[in-house]
Amino acid sequence: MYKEKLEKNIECGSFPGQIPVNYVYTLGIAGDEFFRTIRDKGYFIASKCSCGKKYIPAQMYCDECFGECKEYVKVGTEGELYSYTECYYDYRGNKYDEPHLLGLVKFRDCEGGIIHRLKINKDEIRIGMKVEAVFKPQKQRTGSVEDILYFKKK
Amino acid sequence: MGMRKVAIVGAGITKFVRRAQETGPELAYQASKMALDSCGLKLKDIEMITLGTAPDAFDGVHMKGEYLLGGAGGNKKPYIRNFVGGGTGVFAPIHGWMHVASGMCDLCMVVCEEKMSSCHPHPQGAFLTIFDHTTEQPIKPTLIWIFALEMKRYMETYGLKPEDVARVAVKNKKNALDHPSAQVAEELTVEDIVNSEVLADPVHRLDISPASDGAAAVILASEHVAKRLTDKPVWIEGVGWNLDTAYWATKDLYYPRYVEKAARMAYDMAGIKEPHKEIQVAEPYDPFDYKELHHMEGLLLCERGEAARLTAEGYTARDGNLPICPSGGALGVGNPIAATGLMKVIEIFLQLRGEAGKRQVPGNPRVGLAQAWGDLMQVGTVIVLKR
Repeated sequence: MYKEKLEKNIECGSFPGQIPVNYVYTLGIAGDEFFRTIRDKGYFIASKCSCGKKYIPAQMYCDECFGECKEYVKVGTEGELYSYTECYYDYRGNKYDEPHLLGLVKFRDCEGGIIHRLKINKDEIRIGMKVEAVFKPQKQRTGSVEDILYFKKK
Repeated sequence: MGMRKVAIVGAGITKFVRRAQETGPELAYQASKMALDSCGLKLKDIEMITLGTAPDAFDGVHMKGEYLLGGAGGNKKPYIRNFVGGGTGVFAPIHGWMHVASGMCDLCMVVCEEKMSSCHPHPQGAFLTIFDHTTEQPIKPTLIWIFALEMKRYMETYGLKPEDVARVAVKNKKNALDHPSAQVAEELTVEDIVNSEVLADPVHRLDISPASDGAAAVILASEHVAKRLTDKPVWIEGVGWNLDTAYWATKDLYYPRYVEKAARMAYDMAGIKEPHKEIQVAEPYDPFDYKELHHMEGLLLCERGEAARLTAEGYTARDGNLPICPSGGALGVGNPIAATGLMKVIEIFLQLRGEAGKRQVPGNPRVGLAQAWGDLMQVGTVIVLKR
């Protein structure tokens, strides 16, 4: 373990502080469509630009031509595992009891992707495998990324 | 100085609202797209982008410049954020001017965004940590307390009454009735202002601009490109910026010397010798009503202590000798910090082109000024525009 050492052993005055705010973020124009669809229908949609590019999660503007993505198209629940990792520590530096399996899932013909937990046997996992999102039961869904429980092997 | 001429050729601005459905990048996108459309350009025509936005703590996103990148059209382009607190909205086009004046590019888009509504219970919580963490934060000051100290010292110096200051709020909120982006436009009386709730004496609720969500954007072009794009380029003739100490106890609260220094820098560059005669329309930063007066004096648009009298005489009205904040200002249009400063630059751009609609000041003005102010009551940013 790393241990902090002060150069000199001195009495160092200090004052504790914090930024006393919390945040309520709007999902946005495209985000409302995307998460409302997860909540109500249990699948992913992409936003589509008139130039043909599709974005998931849905975004309002096209990175390619800067047009407004006004159309939304159904993508479903299946994607492809683009990369994955096994995580041992949380953001506070505490060790997990069980390592977390995290993946980046991409969708056919779509820009972007979704980062989420995976529930896949270690001996079966491989980059490029087909995966499928598992959602909470509809009544428990609130319209957030936490409505997705995890991705499993398809 | 060996620098190239730079013009504003297009502008876009969203509505300023208390809480927008749009995310920050979506607001930035709307303003950017409007600015591009206004001068018939596509994003691929834009070579460089500069983005202005105030503290990360408002939106609640660290590295807000990077977060806003896509909406501001910055993907895979030379893109950079600039920041001088509340002065950012006028510094951003100065920063864009540097890109073009230096010869680095011919077309630069400048985007400013703020989404203060994410910050709960109030953005004042984020302001708390701008103060020194050991000498000032323990007293838990709000910005309004600090403004109150400055306002009181200013009023005391020149013998002003609350009514003298309130006329600014009445004028600006009324001007904003004609601004399509306005959030708090209203026809009020001086009595309404001075009878509104006291937040920290002498500051009343209606002396202050609101917290807002919004975005604005302008397109800057070099001379030969500007002349191809439009018959009505508006030239950036002078730019200036200046910062004083963050320890505001050490400076004169009745007079913003750093604003004067920024203004003189811009006037020297623009060849302006007598600003009170040569500037024909101005948009000084008005987050509080007394700040408009304070800044008129710092910008040398009138003698010290004279601004309140001139306001009472109608000199600063839209049809007065020197229209001040014909847009409606932060007090009327709203105050999404960085976007407000750029809104002011856009107002002068429109006024000089004769495209301000119902807000148009008479007399076909040729020379105008926009100014923003901020950080810890320590920065002035000034831009002089001519047609």
